[in-house]
Amino acid sequence: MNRWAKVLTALLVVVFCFAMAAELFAQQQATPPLKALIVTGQNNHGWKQSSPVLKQILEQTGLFRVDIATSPPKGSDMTTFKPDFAAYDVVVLDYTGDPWPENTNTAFLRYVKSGGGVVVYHAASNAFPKWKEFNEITGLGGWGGRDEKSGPYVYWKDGKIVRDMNPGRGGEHGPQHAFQVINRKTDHPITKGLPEKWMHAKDELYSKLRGPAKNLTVLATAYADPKQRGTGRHEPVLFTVNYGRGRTFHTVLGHVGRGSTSMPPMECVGFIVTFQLGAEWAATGKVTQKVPVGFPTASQVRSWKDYKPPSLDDILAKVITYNYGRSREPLSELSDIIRNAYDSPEELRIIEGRLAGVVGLKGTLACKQFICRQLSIIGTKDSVPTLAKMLTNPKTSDMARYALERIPDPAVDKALRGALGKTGGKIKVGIINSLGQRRDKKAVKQLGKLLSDPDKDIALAAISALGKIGNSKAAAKLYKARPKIQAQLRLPCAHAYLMCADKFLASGSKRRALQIYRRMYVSDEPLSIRVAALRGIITAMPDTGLKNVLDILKGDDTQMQAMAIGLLREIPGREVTKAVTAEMPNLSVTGKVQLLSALAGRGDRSALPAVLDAAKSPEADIRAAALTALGALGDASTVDLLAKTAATATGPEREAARSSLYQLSDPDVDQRILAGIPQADSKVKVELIRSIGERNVVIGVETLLKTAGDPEAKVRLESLKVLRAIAQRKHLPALIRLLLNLQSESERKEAERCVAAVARRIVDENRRAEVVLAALPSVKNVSSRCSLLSVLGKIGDDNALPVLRTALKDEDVNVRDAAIRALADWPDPRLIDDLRQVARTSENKLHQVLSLRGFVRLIGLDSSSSPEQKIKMYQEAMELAPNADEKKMVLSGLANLKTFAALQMAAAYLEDSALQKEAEVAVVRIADGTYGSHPQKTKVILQNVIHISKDDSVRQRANRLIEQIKQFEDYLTAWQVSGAYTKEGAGPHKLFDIAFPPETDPENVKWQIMPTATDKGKPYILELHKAVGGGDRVAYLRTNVWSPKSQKLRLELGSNDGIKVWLNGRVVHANNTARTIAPGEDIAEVTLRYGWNKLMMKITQSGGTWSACARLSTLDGGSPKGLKVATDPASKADVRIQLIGDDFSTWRKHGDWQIVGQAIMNPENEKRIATEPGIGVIVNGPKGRTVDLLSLAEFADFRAHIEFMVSRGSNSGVYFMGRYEIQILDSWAVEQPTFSDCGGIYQRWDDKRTPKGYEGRPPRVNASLPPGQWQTFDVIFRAPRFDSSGSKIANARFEKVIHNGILVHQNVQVTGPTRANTYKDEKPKGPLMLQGDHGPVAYRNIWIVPLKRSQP
Amino acid sequence: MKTKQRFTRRSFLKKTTGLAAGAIAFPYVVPSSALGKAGTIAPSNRIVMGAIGVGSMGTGDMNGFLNKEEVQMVAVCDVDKNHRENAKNRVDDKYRNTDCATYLDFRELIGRGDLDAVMMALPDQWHAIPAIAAARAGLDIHAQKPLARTIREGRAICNAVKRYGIVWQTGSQQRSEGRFHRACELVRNGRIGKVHRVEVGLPNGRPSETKSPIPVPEHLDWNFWLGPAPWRPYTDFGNGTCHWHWRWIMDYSGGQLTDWAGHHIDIAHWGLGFDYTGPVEIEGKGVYPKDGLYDVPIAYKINCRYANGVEIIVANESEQPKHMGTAWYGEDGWIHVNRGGLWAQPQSILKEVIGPNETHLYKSDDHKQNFLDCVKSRRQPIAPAEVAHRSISVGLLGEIAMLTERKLRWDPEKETFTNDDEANRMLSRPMRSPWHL
Repeated sequence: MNRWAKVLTALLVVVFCFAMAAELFAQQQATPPLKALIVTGQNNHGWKQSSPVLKQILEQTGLFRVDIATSPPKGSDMTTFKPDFAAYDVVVLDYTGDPWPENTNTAFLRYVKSGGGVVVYHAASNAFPKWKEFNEITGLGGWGGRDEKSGPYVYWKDGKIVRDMNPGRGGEHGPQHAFQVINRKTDHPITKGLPEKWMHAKDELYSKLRGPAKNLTVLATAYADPKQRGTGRHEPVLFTVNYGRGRTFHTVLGHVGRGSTSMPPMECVGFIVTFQLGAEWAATGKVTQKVPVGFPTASQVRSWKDYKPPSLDDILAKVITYNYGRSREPLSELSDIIRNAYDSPEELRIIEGRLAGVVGLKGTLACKQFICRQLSIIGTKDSVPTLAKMLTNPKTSDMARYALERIPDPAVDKALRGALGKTGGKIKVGIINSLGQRRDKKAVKQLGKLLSDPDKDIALAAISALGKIGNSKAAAKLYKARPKIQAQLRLPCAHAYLMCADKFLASGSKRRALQIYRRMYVSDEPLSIRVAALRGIITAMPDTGLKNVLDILKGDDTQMQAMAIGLLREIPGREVTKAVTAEMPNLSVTGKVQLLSALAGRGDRSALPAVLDAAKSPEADIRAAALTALGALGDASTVDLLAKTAATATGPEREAARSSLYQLSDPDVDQRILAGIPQADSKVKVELIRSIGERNVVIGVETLLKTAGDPEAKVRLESLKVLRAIAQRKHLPALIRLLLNLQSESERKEAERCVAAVARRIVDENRRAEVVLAALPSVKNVSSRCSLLSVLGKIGDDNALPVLRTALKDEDVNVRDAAIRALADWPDPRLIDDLRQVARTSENKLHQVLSLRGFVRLIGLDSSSSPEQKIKMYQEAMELAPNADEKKMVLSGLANLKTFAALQMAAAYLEDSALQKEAEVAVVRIADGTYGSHPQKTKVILQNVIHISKDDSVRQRANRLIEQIKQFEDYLTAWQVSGAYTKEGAGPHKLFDIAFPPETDPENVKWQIMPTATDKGKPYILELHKAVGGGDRVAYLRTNVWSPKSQKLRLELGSNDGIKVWLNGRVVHANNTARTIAPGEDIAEVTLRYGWNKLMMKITQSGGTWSACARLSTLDGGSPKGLKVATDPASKADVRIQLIGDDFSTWRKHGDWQIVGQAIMNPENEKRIATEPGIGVIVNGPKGRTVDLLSLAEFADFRAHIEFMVSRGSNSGVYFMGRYEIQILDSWAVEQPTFSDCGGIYQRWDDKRTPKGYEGRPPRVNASLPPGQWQTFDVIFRAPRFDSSGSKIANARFEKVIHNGILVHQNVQVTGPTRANTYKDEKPKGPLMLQGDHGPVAYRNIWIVPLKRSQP
Repeated sequence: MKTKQRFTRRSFLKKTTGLAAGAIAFPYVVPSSALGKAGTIAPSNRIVMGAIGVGSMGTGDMNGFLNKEEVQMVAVCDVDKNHRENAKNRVDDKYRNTDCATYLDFRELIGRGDLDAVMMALPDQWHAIPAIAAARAGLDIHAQKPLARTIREGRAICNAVKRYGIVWQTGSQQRSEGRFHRACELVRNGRIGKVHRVEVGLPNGRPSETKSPIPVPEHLDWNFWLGPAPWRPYTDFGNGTCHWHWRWIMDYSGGQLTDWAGHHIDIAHWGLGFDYTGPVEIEGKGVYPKDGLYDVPIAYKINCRYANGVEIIVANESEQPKHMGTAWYGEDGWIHVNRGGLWAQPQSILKEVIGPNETHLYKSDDHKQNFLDCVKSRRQPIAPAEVAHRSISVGLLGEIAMLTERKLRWDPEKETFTNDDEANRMLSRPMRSPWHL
């Protein structure tokens, strides 16, 4: 150890505080750079206590030298009080009292204006109410006659500061209590890096402060809860003020009463750290300090005794008692300290020393394991001796290796080698593994001996280690050992030997590598080893490798051939291609297919002749593979072959030819395709034309305009199709000419689609119809005019509407028809009313029909109407429909509406013989969308279709859907939805915890039926974006599940994003996450009660689509029997008797028992329970001593669920029938539980017996959780039985007692009441009793299900 | 009873050399009626597979393979008896026999000698050892992402795959989904110009909870489950078993980050053409739970700089403007893709055709089919080991950057940090005896 380290270690021992030592270390090098002055001496608070603490807090940062200026006592002459403010960087005000002398005031103002820093601490807020400038510096204050003349009240509301000029007194506070501080500005140097919310220790919460509040920035607020006599406002607790060039940091926290000996608010880490950061900011405008470890969390106060961070020793003291299942907090603290020390080797060495010291001597195994992990990162040779000792101990060997293996020092290898001889079995294996991992060359000799070890694991480890070390000595050992090695180690041994070769090759010893590769290649080792050897040869000497590959291709080992072909990837070069293609003819079909694939992968076009040859093979598989390879290897010359094959072949060959034709990358290919078209026969021509589209050959338009006039109809049609895809605006006139010249109706329709599609691609929506409109006036031919009108209808540019409306009045009926058709085609639902109007009023039957068709089509396109409105429109269309044909059309439109109402409407026409067929089709199509949301009702309708339909395909589809319904029946698909709920400024993460009306007032919320899923394959996915839109919102889903019995089931959930689930009003699952949906990703075990159960889910969303799904399955994944699901349950019978409600009406006298909203173990006094107002939880009074609580109702046999929480060391118990007790106690971590530990059946008592206590029964295992955590009992209890004369014939019996899910008693009889019972006698019925006088305890969610009497 | 004759493609190929495949009818234990299209696949082309790890993910994968006609699943392996039996039942159900073998120890399954391929779906600490053993036995492998728990383990897998010339497919199936392929091809072909920044949004982490050790259930070999990971007493990680929430414990996984790195970072790399490289500078910050059982970050943000200046920012989705998925930003626009959709600015990009002379990325429509096709053709599948290694490396590097809280410089060739010894120590993890790579 060097001298520095010795000095430091000594310091550590004396000061025993690592952080302080670091500071001292810093202080010895330089005096702190900043000067602070604390001004005090008068205060209605305990300034004598607070000022030294403030000094200590500031000095601890290492940044400040601190002086204290103490004023003369109150009422005495102040003229001498003249602190030299100007000499300081920051002035801390802990003063409220007599005015300062005038020149002191002037000096203070001058100091601030010229850039001085000020920290206002707690009661100093209230100083000098009359001094205007002082108040501008402090910003806000209270008392001292402050009122509206002093300035506005300042508080926080709806995301911003409110300056409230209402009249009233300034300054008040309720009783001291712990409260949560919320940082409102998170990017300020002071608050940056702090948690957004943190719990402050019990303190006064200043409220109603008022003052000038100029240039004031609120950093943090706290909610002044009316229950603590607060204002109900978020009051500022930390803020800054700019005055002149000066900066003020103002903290209202840190109350200390006069003469106080304990100062919880000043010990709060939050207070200390914000004070330190604030003081630095006030002094310099910057913050250089790091936020230390152990800052309070949103719910937990954190305190530092003596106002400083815990030392390494403090933390280590906690770490050595760490065990699995306990809080990892001390471990986190330790790793934080280590991480912070990374930059300083000196600090790290000190820490390492301490850790090695601890791990060598003390600590649980879990602690040692943790420390070893730390040492694995920071350890040096200094730790090696300690770790080496642990190496030979079976309990610590693995963890020691964990550290040793990562420490890069030869001392480690030496220690490992040393331990090799002293160990055996698994320990030895581990050590060998580590030596291998470390590539320790010096271990080769020892490892070589172990190759023949009778212990297979040892030999195997030695083999692997030698392979990893891989030097020539290791290789020699492996070579020698190979012939004698145990059979099952041959493969690993060959592997290790090859690893040596790889090493030689990597280090340039090609010759030695090749020797091994060759040896292994010709060996009788398994194929895999020989393949690896071949690959080695290829890498080391490609020529030789190639020769070997060729030999293999010539040979008849097809398996080796397959592997060798795979390796061709790694041998580049034309000669290689040439050589292997020469072998193609010799290969089997499989081999040829593989080789063709490999050639394609090589991308070397010199293989082309061979591939073309293979394309002529008599084997279809080979031809297909060759055609595929042409995609990569072919050039323009292959266009003809591919096109021809595409035109004539079938199946995979045709697919391969087409896709290769589309992929050919030779630059001449496009020209070749275009050039080939004129001569090609019509089938080939079609393929070539299609490839123009697939290859996006824009220059091909001219050619296509020609082929569009080809004598062959197929060619013309294909040309039009491709033109539709690639033609551009400039081609429109030519396309229109083309259109006007076409004679065939079908081609004309295709051409219309083509023109319309090209026009629709024009970016400017208002110019799309331009070219067509320009062409129209000169077109006289009626049918041509009609075509163009039809095109206009498809383009849907509003500029064409006047033309179409004029055409409606054209003298030619055909033109009128075309105009109506165009309007009926209009892709814009805005025309829906026009068409409805024409359909209703037109005299012309054809027009009626056309407009009706348009109307029906537009209903389908209309996205603004609700499904209900659409149903109405379809009904209207049905009435307007003049004949069965049009009614059929309405039905086919209706079939697109996937709602249950649509299904019902379609089903109604199943009776109409003229429409039955269409109705059947419509029903199965709609059912496709409703079977998720209405599985049962859809099933009934489908069954009817199966019954009446004569169409096999319809019946099949209906059957398929019913099958699917059966498959998804376990999914809960019938839901009501409410929402979306949003809150301004709240993202999904926050929304998760905001309670919206469905949580607070579910019955007065508007619930709608959840629309059906649109993903046919997943009808159980509840698509919330379709139901309630998207973006930072929340939706609720609810349904009811009827269970034939009380049972535990698995609720398998999926959600995008966060999900919270309530079953019968209780949260059973919560996962505030963001993710895509994966059914069953979350699993909650839930207990359904007999009868109807209410299920509600809350889903949060951040963006994009969102959805949820839920299914119930049995615990082993099966399908639960007899469940019913309904959004509106017929009966809501509830067999559970809930004992905890919003009053004590279910209980007898309740003494000091209280109903509260939350109970936690009081962090400041863990023996007590702290509560928050509300309902749902009961506690036995502030002191934990009051009466026992007895239920009003009496029970015989029953099942009970009880949730309870005890504070540290506390005690209670549940008395069944008021007589038989299951003990409640803080028994956390008790290793040998007795009857008096939690979950025990407490003993009976008889003064006359010896021993007096008897029949106590310990729990089978101690299932206790730590104090402060909620625990559960689930008990099946059987009352004693009596015969008609009243004599007992069977004892009371605990059939099952389950503590925190673990069975702790089964069928334990109790012969009579437990000690400390309420009743001495035994009865057939009795109340449930909760013990209330043994210490603080809280209970919640107690329910009872009476059971049928079983036979005794 | 005489054991039924097992038939494998491996042995078949050897025995039937020179004869046209499928020319001889073989008696086969599977009734053709159970094989979908009346058993159209000749026995010679059937790929005989085993499944290692048949929990939830593994069962999904196994079902996928069971549905492929050319696969014959003959063995399943899991350290949980319940998983084993369920999987066997599924296989036997499919083939209407009782032939599926069960194993607790993957070494026995690999050592059967009659397999062509294995599929693996295991906790991350168990990714490397069985993979290397299977590769050594010459088996082709379909394995779940992330490739490995550490960078060194991933490298060892890649080496073994290469050394034994086996076909490896990683379960990063997004590569076989049209939308992702399309997005990457558009980016690769410069449709948004030169890319300067990529945002990768992965799921948010989960808060922790404290749980006490409990007795090991009878159906589970806990020691084997832990395998090379440090010992700890059995704990219900959630939902009553250890199978669900191991992902939130660093001994077994890096949490959502390393789970999803194999997807959206993988896609980011694909689009950028970074399949065979990695970042040169990494910096990260994580929010770690301090006290509960789970110790992976709840929130995380990692900045990676690549040699050509591109920056990839990986974070939990709440931290990303576009939330989940991969978003590339280029000089001329952006493209964003996730499992919910494909978006771009300008939108018109999405309709553009990629011409024959542009870069066409490997195309696969069916991830498992692609693997099987490659087993037969010996081609590289769409998600080979090296690519998966480079994808997960970003997550693993990010994990180390967050744990050290330092800016790390990385040499993607040598795969070492050039400026940080502590970080270098984290590239591998010592294994509990007797396990080793």
